[in-house]
Parts: sequence; structure tokens; C-alpha cells
Amino acid sequence: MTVQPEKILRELSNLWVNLGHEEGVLRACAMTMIVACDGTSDVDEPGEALAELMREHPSRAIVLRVLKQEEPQLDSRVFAQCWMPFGKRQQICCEQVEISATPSRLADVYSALLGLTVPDLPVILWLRSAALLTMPEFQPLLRIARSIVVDSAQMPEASAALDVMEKARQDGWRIKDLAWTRITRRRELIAQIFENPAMRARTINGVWIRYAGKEIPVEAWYAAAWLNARLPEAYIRFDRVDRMLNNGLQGIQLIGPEFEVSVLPSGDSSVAVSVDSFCGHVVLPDVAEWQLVEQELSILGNDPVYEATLELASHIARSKL
Amino acid sequence: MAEANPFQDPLRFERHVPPCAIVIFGANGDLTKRKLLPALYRLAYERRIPPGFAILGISRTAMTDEAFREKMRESVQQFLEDSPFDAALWDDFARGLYYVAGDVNDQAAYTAIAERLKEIEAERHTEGNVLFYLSTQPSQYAIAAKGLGIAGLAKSANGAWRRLIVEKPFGHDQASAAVLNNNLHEHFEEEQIYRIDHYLGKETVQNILAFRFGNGIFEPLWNRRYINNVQITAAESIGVEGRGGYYQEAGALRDMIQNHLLQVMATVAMEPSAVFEANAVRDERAKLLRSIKILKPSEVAANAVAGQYGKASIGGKEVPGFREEAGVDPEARTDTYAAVTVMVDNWRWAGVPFYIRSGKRLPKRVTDIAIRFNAVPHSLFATETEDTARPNMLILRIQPEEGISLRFSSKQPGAGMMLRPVSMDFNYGSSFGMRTPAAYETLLMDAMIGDATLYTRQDMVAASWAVVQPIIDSWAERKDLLFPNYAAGTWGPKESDDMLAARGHAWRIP
Repeated sequence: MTVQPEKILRELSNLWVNLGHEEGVLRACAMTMIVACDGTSDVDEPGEALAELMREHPSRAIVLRVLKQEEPQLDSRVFAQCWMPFGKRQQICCEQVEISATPSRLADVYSALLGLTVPDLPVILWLRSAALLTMPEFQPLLRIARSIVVDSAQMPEASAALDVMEKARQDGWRIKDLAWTRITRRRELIAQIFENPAMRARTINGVWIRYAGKEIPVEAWYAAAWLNARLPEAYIRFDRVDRMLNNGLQGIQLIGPEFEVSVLPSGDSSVAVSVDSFCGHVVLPDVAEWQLVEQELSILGNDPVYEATLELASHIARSKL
Repeated sequence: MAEANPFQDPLRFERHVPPCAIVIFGANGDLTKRKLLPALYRLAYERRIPPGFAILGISRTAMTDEAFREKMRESVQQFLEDSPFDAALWDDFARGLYYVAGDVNDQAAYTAIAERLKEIEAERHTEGNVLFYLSTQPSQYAIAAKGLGIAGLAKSANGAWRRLIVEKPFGHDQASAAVLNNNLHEHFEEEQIYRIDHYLGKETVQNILAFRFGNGIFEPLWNRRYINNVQITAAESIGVEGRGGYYQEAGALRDMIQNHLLQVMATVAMEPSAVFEANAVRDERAKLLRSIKILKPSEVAANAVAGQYGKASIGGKEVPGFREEAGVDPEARTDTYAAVTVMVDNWRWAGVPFYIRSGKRLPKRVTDIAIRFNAVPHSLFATETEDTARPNMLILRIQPEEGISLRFSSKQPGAGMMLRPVSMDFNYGSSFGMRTPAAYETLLMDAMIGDATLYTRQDMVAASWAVVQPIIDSWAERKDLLFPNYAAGTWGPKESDDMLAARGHAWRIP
């Protein structure tokens, strides 16, 4: 019950030799992507998401399953993910390694991962279970990557989640939160409205955030902080409404003495964008988790807009509660 | 609120085309069918096109909007590359397609265009922004610009914009290029004119800038001290393919080298700009083009070679010579092959020859840039032969297999110290997996957004004509050029090899 990096690398090497016998196989790798999950449900299986991500972000994917069983266990296997790009004759293949370990064996996994990361390329750690971010046995593994992708909306309490994320940011990790990614399209709709200089000249003195759920969700705090940084004079109000869109943030309204801008749900996958009396509808289909991760992977460096928003959101959430 | 939009998040938000209409002159032509409409449809597929968007096709053939839409649907289905055709998306996209039949030479056509644009603006909310695309005969560029100017379409009100895209060739020679520029400027400001050179829109050509200025290790070597020569090749395996009439007036020097390849060379050899902004980058390209040594008439023969292919049998198939092609004068003296030695008079490149060649009916279709480094000053290995001791070479592959290769020597496995050249390859397709946008997608999007970085400016056109004009003049006067002088399916005339051999060099076989 050991995981030997040399053995895995040898297996990977053999894999490529075998694939090399097939005609037209290209090897692609732009990063090491470690996907950690705690195996709580089938939804936790990252295979499909990784297959989608490989197309735009080919990587050596290492799936780390943290098992919940009592008996210590540590195991691994290797295989390749291949796909045929549209209109091409050559398959593109990426390596995938799977490691299963019980919490007591996670310290061994850390040393194994050190030997398995692809040299000189970025290492991304995607925590499919947000609980792993605070799990004591998991802490050493965070050191393996500078960029950590997590979905804070999975955490039970929004303001605590923001504190955890903000602390990780302050500790030097490049935190990437899928809850923030989830509101990109709606932020973009607002930005498009204010592309018109005449709109920027108008006064806005109120921001209404509409959310669904028992308490204000992370997405709503993020929207409030993002708007507050840009409209510091405007007051912020949160309103609880029925859920229409498939995430915590339901709508945004910006109110001024002369006009009103709103992005509000008009169906389960569309929003109505209103500026004064002019209203248009925009399709806002549900975004799969892998699409959110894909957006985050396209930002390899720091993300100053998000980082400033996280700091402010954590502050606002603490002071409002 | 701030002057700039404080809600923007450039790391995440995609560049979006503002509401606008595109007016395409030559809407029934090959370029529109093969490139422009597929590129615009693809932008719609990528959700880059706003709801307030319309295309107005102009050509002489009488056609209804519906007939135009149907024709364009067939073209997009036929010529769309690397993407599936989505019928529902097409239906939505096609609602923004309109057509006006008119003759570019007839001022009434411009009045009709102006009226139709007003209707379209009301119907599609294009906010008065219009991009005119001249995909017509080059002789009609000035006429169309004048027609637009007289109809008041070159200027706009209420902060809307008007832009004009001009396809190459930008003139037939130095003098006609200057006349064309003056004619365009009578109605359009220079900032409104977008001279398209689709080579600059190719992802791999743009990557030259990223490769040179985004990496620290290559730029120190990028000069006369380490680089021995640079070879730029743009080879086509096909002949003139029905374009004989046009091509016999143009030739390889005008059709490829004057525009595409000199722009590519400028990208390879330019100095870094202080910022990545349209005019800063274009200033550097223009400076480089102005630094090229202009050949004296007496120097042309030793530094430029013209060729024309003759008939041959390629793989058992008989291929006609250029003079036997349809629409070509049997006595035509057109250069279907041109090779030029270009020297750059500046500190970085003094003494380094840039060999540029382009031709039709060469052995394969390939465009690449080969940068040959100096050989090691002293060889340690006695077993090295001329074959194995090849100098390092960096190859920037533009098409068809986009990527970068570095050739270096490596020890052959086994006893003894036997060297052999090996290649380290970066392949665009496999490293990124994602689809590479076609050049016209990039360039059309840039023009609609107002980013002219990849477009050619007037001074760049003038500088590149200044480089080739002495060669054109000299070839026109030479009666000793005997055509055809290379067989179809070969790498050009012997004189081209001799041109490099005179400096101790040889063409690389791509």
C-alpha cells in the first residue's frame, strides 16, 4: 500500500510507448491539475469534467480521492484521456493518474505528489469538496500548488466561507472561487450597460441585491462587494426572493434619482436586462462546473478584481452580520 | 463615475463587438463566400456578435434579401472550417443579412445604401456604426470611397463611427499606391482606414510577437551576432486556379512579397515597442520597413530572382505551365516565383541576409520562417560531418502545421560520440487543444472594435512598395529573362539557389 512516484512515472512512460504504436496520437500537457474529492457522492466523480477541461487545458491530471473508511489505504493507477479534435485526424491524449488515500495516509500522498507534478509547468489544485480546504490532514497538500480552485458555495455558512477564503488569500494562495465565477455573466451584463459614457454620468445611490436561500449566499456578498467598490456612495440592500436561477444570487438593481438598471431573472435560464423603460432578455444557461473551472484556468496569474472583491466581501459580511 | 468603465474586468469579460452594420462591396464574390461570411458566422457562433448587428451585401447582381441569405447559407455551410453548422443559429444570424443591388460606379447605388442603412439602423439598433468592406476589384477602391464620401456615409454623427476596410493590393506599384492613398484620404481619415493583410491576422504570425517579446531567452540572440541568415518561405503547390487573369498582372513579388511577406519579416525583425498598442506596434514595423536597403538597379540581378513555372508531370499527372493556364497570355512574363535578398540597415541586423521567396506550383504548400544561427566556432567532435554538424535552426511554422521547432545536435545513442540533428517541436494544435480562430475572424473583430494593431498603415505600405519597386522596374526592362525557367513541382529556378550560394548559403527544404 504505497504510491511510488517512480513507478507511476514508469507506467506513464509505458503508456506513451503503447499509445505511440497507434497512428496519429499527440501528447499534450500545459499544467499539472490535481483534483481532490472526498468521494461523498457520484456527482463527486471528476472524470467527465476532466475530459471536458482537457480540450482547452491539457494537463497531467491527478485525481486524489480522500476515502472515508477506517482502514488505512493508499492506491494508484494511470491511464490516458484522449479525444479527436473536430475535423482533425490526430487524437490528442493527456495523462491521468488516480490516487486513493484515507486521511491518515495523506502525508504520504504529499511526498508522492511532489514527484508527480510536471516540471516547470503550473500546478493547480481543484478542491471538488470545499470541506477539504479546512480539513487538518489535508493542510500539507495545499502547499503543492499556488493556485487553489474551490467552490465556497458548498460551505455551510457564507461569511465563514469568505473568512476562510480571505485567510488563504492573505497566506499567499492564489484562491479561485467558483462562486465568484458563477456571477461573471451578470457582472458582464452590467459592465456592458456602463460602456456607454452617458450611463456612467448618471447618479446611482442604491444597490439592491436579490438572493435565494435561508441566508445571504456567497455569490450575493461578492456582487455586493464588487458593486460597493465601484459605487461607494450607494447604500446596499439585500432582499430574499424565490429561487429562479440555479445559484444564490438572483438579481441586481441599481437605483438612482433619474433612472434604474436591473438584471433580474425572467425564467429559469434567462434574465431581463432593464435600463429605465427599455428591457431586453438574455439567455443565461446553467453553466456546468467544468465550464466555471475552465474560466478560472484561463487566468493563470493573480486576479486583482477578484482578490479586492474577496477582501471587501469578507469585511462587509462580517460587519453586516 | 470614472471616465473609464469601472465595471470592466478585462481578465474575464470577452471582447464584444459593439452594435454595428457591415457593408460588403463585392458581396457576390469569392472572398465574401469563402472567408468573410464564414468568419462572421463563426463570431456569432462564439457569441461575439451583438444583437444590434447587420450585414448589408452590395453587388451588381439583382437579388432579394432572401436570395442573398440563401446564397450565404450555402457558402457558410460549404466553407466553414473546424466548426459544425448550427441551423438555428444561422436562422437568427441570417435575419441580420440584407442586400442592395448596385453598381459601384453609379452614385445612385450609394444613395440606396444610405437609405437601406437608415432602415437597418432602426430595425436592428446598429447605433449608426458602419464598417465598409471593399472586397471589389482594386480599381474600384477609390471610386467606392468617393461614392461613400459624396453620399455622406464616410462621416457620422452622435459619436458613431465609420470605418473602411481595404483589401490588398494597395496599388499596383509605388506611384499608384500613393495615388490610392490620396484618393482614400479625400473622404476618409487615416484612422478610419483599415488595410487588411490577412497574414498579420494569423495566430502564428501574432505569436511571433509573443515568442520574441514574451520570453527572455530569445531576444538576446536575436541579432547579427548570433543569427546567420533568415529564410522566409511561402510556397503553394497549386497553380493560379482560375485567377490567371488577375495573377498575370500581379505576380509573386506584388501578390505575396510586397505585402504579406515583408509584413511578416517586419514582425520578425522589428524592435520591441514600448507598449502593445496599435500605433506603437505599427511604428516599429514601419521603422523596420524603412530600414530595408533599397536596391540600386545594378544590384537587382544579384539580389532578386524571377521565375515562372513550365509544364511538368507531377506524380504521373500532367500539369500545365503558367502560360498554358486559362486566361493567361501565352507570352506572359509574370513572375510566378520570386526570391529576394533583403538587407536591413540597422545595428541589429547589419550584414544578416533575409531571404524571402514565394511561388506557385512548388512541391508543397508551406509557409515558415527559418532562423539559422551561427555554427559553433570550433567543433569538438571529430566524427562530425557536414551532414551532422548543422547549425541550430529555429523554425516558426505559419502553415499548415502551426508551431515552432528548434533544431539542435544530439548524441546518437550507443558507443562513440556520433551527433545527429534532432528537432524539438511545439505544436499549436496539441498544446492548446482549442480551435485557432481564422485570420479573418480576428481581423474583422479587431476592425469592429477599433483595434488597428494588425492592420497596415499608409507609411508601411509606402515603405514596402519602396523596397520592391526597383525590382519591378528592373524586371520590366530585362529582356534576357527567359520564361518558363522552372518546372512545376520543383523548388524554383536554379538562379534562386545561385543567389544564396553567392553568400555561402543554401535554401532550406521545408
